Amino acid sequence: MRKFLALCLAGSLALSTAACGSAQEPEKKEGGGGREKIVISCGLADDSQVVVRQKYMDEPLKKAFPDVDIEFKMYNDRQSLQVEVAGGGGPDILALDGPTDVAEFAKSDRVLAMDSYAQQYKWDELFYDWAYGSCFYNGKLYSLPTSFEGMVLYYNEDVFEEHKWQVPETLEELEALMAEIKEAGIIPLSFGNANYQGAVDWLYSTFTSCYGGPEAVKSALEGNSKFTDPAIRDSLQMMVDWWKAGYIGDNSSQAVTQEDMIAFFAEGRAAMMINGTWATSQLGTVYPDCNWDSVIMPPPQGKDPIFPLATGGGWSINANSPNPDLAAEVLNFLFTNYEDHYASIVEANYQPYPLKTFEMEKIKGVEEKVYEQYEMLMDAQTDNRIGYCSWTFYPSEMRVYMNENTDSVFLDALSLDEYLEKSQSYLDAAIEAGTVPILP
Amino acid sequence: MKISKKKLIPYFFIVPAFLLHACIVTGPALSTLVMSLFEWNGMNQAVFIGLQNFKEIFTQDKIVRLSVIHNIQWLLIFITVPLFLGFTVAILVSQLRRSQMFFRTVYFVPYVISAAVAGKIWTAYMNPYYGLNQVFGKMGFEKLSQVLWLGDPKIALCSVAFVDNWHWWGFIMVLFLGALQQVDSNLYEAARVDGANRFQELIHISIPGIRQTIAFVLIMTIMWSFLTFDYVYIMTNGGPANSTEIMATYIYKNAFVKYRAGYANALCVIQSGICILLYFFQKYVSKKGGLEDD
Amino acid sequence: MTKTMHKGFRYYLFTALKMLFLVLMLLFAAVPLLQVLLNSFRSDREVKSMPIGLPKQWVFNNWPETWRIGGYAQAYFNSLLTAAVVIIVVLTLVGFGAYALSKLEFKGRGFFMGYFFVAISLPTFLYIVPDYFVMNKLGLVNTRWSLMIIYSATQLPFNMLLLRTFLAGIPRELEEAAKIDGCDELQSFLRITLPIAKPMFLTIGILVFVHVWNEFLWANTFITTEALKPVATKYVVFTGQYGSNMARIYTASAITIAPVIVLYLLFSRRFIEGMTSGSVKG
Repeated sequence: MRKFLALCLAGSLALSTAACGSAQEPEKKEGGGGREKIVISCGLADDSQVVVRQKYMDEPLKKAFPDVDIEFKMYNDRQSLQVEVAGGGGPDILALDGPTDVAEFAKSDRVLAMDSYAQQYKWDELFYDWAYGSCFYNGKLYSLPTSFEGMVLYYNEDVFEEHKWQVPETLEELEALMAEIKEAGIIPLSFGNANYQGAVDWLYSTFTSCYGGPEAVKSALEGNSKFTDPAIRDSLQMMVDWWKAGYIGDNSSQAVTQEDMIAFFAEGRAAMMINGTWATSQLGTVYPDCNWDSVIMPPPQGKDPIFPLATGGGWSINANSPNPDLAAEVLNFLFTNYEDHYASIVEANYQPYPLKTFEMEKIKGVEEKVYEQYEMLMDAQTDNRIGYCSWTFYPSEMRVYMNENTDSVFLDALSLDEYLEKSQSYLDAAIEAGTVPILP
Repeated sequence: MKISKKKLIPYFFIVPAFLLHACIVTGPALSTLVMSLFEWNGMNQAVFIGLQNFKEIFTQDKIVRLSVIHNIQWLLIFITVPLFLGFTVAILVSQLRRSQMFFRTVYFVPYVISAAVAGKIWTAYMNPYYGLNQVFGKMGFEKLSQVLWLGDPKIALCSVAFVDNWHWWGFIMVLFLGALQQVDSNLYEAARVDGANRFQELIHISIPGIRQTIAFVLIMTIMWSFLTFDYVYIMTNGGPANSTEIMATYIYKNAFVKYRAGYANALCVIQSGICILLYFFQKYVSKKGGLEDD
Repeated sequence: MTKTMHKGFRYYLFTALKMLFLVLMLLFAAVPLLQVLLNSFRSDREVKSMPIGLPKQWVFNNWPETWRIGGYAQAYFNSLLTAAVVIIVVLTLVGFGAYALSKLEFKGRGFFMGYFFVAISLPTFLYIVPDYFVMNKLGLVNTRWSLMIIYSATQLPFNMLLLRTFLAGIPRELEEAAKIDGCDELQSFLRITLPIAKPMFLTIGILVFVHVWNEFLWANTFITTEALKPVATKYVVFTGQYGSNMARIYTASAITIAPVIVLYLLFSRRFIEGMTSGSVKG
């Protein structure tokens, strides 16, 4: 009896380890009639958004590649995508959250190094240097940046008008204004991360870059100074103080969802919001009646305003893909299909690819305040007044640690110094391993 | 010939279930256990590091300790509240005649709701701006309306436990009710003839009569408290500030967010280890207490 | 049953208190769900400003919209089909297995009992990735088969032990009597034990159905084609897509839980009848 059981266990164990350990044979994915198939992953979108996507992405792709079945597959979380990829399957083109995300896949050879394709299609000439450079890991190119974005301060014009408040131009004005707003019973800065804890990285990225200063951040990320040094430490202390005073998120941000965060801002429950340039599309579709505008985060008196930059996502080629050459071709098409791309920005508020050839004229049809945001982005780039957002420029483990523990600092469960020390230790490890993204 | 066939029959009865389960669950689980000795990011680049993961868990990781404590708190809540409620209500309901089916049916309904839906619904009710707090405010309970049910680290775990409890106690109640109705009614009659009152019936007939079920429910609750995942994941995902972090959510984060699958597997080993220990401990205690027959 | 002459004030007081308690528990269980139903008939604005209460204005388009947008018809079909297959498989395997564990003496009994108890303690994450590997190799990923096999396997331990506990409570004399009459093990199981255990089978059937209907993690990982997705996955995807429209969320919740509740209500009647009439009268 025992022998029999032991055999069974051994059998199933052998079967599964054999499946795990051996190299995976990619399956031949063929559509009807010997057509090739390319699957591109994307995030959740509701019906109206899907229709829009079909107009600017699916249709043009169909026209350009008539013999290929191109499908966009929605994934509602990272976990299912990861299990698929780990299991030897998954879409051909992966839409990931940015270079730090890609780094994880690159570490385990789950995405292809695209240097040969880059040479073939001359991608290095296509993208902004800083965006392109951030996509390298260990000296190889693993993804292509799909958007560029930055952090701004949104304010609700109606609320400001009603209370006769002035848009602050310096940090000092902002602080004074927030106290006034709170007095009036309104939330100064809307914030909520209940359903996406990682949203805190918007906050600390903004504070370190704008108020710690980009030089301080850059030098720390390059190993010449530390996060525990006064410049960065003080900026984060200020962030914590603001949170505790109720200026950020009304002391309840952990219980407020992202949707609520925008809703509060749009409905006037909150007067301002620190958010990214990507929020304009949500504001536009869900709250068209909201009168909002945005400015760069007000700098301390006498200093220049800084625009924290990021690439919001990246496309990589799955190492399991049976058609990598075709996938590269599709990628190249997507990035060079200028007409549809500009149209999508103007008509559907899509984010622009960080292309050198980006011309402001072409997006003149966009709403004025959105256009102004792009102008701010461009100017900041030319004048080199850029800051560094964590999801593009910080090493992945450091970012994960900070995302998970910022709330603890807000809630006094963790001291700021301990938090900074631990973050620094992750940064040190990454510098040693050579896995810190390249900074512009 | 007949003898050996007779001996084999039980095996024919039980082995199919065993095989199916072993192939899908145990076999793969064992292979994953092996992976707990590796540093692995979940996508095929495993580095053998022996027991280092375990060392880290026991010496450096503060969150694991926190998670285990939370699981223990969860356990304490769940072996008392739903059991007490379920049992009491089962007794009361078993005494009803006409309305019994109605009550029993309604009490069980929360159990059939999926955790995702129930979690979402209660999260909505506990929303500080759009939820029950509005109602409390309007009714004049100022203090109550300011409570951050899911945002306050001190009470978040209780809030989530409350919701899982809402979902779970009806199930316990039904189990107890079923068991109670299995108790031979002759025993009750005999006791009444002897002059016993309701309370004595309870102690001397009902409880002993359903002791197998009580034991079963106890051990299930204890083990499941360490495995619970759904409600915490849906409602708070371990937050705010790790105040609701339990083993399962921590494992999930390590496996799928932090890309530390080897470490997550080591945590799984610990988790199952605790469960198994509890199972044997409970078995021992029950035997001593005369709860189990076997 | 003797009726005492003086019921007395205390008796009535206790009865009243008991009833009060039961009714409170009833409200506790039912009101949150009734409110969900009510909220599905209110506008988003209204729901956000006051989540508890009757609709001021009845809004009827939440239901058809959510149904259409969420693609629920297909999801219902998927879930029902999967549930049906899993129920049949589980009842068969558990029926035989629990009978063996509770009624038959054999050497491996302790081992198997312990095995299933321990099996419950194995957390999901331990085996989800290897299972995915194997299923992928076998080409079963993204088919309903994968879920059917997995659910059947994972539902075995708990239900096995549940049924075993129940069967152990039934005196052996009945089966012994059958065996004296010349039945073998199989016949004894089919003719004597099964009929008595019918209510428990029904319970297990309901439990399995509920589980399959509600299960999310595995369904989400193994099925990525929209058309094959079961109801629970659709719900989570939906709440992800339309998170800001609370009224739609409540409606989606109602759509997701309605069938389970209805089916449960239908069968619970028969279950009660089984429990109170059949059973063991020695």
